[in-house]
Amino acid sequence: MRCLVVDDSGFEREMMGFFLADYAETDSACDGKEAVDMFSRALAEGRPYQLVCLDILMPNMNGQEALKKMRETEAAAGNIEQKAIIIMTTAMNSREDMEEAIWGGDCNDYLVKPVILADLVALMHKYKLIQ
Amino acid sequence: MPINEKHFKLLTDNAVVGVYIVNKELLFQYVNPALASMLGYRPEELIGTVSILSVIHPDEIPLIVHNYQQRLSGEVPSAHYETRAIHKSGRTVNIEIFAAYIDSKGERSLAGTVINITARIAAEEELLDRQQELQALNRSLEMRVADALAVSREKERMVMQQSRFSAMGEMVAGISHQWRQPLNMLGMSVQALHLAHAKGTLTEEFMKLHYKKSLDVLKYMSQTIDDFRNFCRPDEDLHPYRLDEAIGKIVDFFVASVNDIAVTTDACSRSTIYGHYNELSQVMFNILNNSRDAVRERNICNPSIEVTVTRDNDANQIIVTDNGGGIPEQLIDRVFDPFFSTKDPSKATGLGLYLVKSIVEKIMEGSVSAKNTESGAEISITLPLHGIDITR
Repeated sequence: MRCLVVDDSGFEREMMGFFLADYAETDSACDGKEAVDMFSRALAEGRPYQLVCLDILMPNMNGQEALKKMRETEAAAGNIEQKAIIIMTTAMNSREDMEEAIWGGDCNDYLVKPVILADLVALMHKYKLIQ
Repeated sequence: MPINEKHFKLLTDNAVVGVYIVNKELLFQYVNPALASMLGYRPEELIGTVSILSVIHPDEIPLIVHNYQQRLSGEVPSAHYETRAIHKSGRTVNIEIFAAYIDSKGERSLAGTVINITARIAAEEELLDRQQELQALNRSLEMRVADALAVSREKERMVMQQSRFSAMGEMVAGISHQWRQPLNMLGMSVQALHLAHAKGTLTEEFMKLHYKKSLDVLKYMSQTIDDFRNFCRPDEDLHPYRLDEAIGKIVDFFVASVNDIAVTTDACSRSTIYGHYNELSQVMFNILNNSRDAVRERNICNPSIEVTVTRDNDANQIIVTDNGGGIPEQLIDRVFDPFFSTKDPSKATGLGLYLVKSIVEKIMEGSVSAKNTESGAEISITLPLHGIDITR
């Protein structure tokens, strides 16, 4: 499995990579713009990401905008076997802001920070990314 | 030509003031037409048979009798006083008397001239009434102004209180956001250690790295709480604080919850302000929140807010500019009015900038203004240099 971790915190990118090391080949991006570029390139090269852990609040391009562009890229690519499972990760305070951010776009699920590894693993099971 | 009694009679008969002579029994010996007319009589109705006391207001008779006795005895040669007479119709006539005694042929009589001062007295009474009414009105007005001022002060106090709660709410949201990230880092470190141990890959280096990271994070969280306490502590006494440092911390708090907006600070002034730290934070949070809402509501590309702090010889200036499109020109004069907002009514109380103005002007003794720039709004606060300034 290929996974893309998107977060503006280097430590969090590193830790997510460590958590996912046993389950996936992990790349990371520090903002939405870099993430969309990597996502599109991987798709074009025929080695798409199956899982994207996408932070919402980021500079340059936020998670919602990145999510939209990733889905547009998938739609433009046409007949792809399986759309990526995109899990939004957020540290937003307000429940309303959080729900709007998460369900306003076409994401699969979400994790509220602090991220618990067991929850992440449970989601990978839920979406059949791991057995 | 020698002047005789005939001449005097001619003069008194045609005088415009009243003239009379009474004998020692106080019976009229002479009344000129002017006086008779003043009292509603013809002269012949009064002369010889009527006592002067019968045309005097009953309340005034003791005074008249006293005055006449003094003059008849020669104790007081003349007198000038005001009194009241009774008109034939029964109404009161206010009069002013100038009187003296005359000795003629061994007999003492009293003579005087009389002016009708009813109109003047009425005017004076009217004036007095008006003055009293005016005084009463003034008193009532003063009371009403005092009442209105008290109500206004109370309202302002409540608005201030509300703003403090609101600012505190913002700060609680700020700290909660600021803690979310370090909490996440702590959570990840703990889980990483557990995971590494479970996998048998836990090295001393890995352990040290996460131990140090966790302590740093805890220190940061502790510092955040201290800063938060400084923000919220009710300031009773004025104390000195560095303007650039205060602005820096306020902006740090603000940035914690708005990492979708580029916020820059340029604090050149190293002035020390003597005052209340949390008032500055309330002012700044209100302005920064407005900028944040403006850039978000208008979906501005590359949203940015810039905070600059400068000083000249007279004052410090804090300027907050954003690229949120600005304030409609026709409304810019009203942005500091209470209950005025350009935002959706469900999202704004219209008190933010009113509070900013109130705090800056009434407590910080400064001034605040708003204008538009090419890309957005600019709020400028001027704080006079007074009190302690250790950096000059």
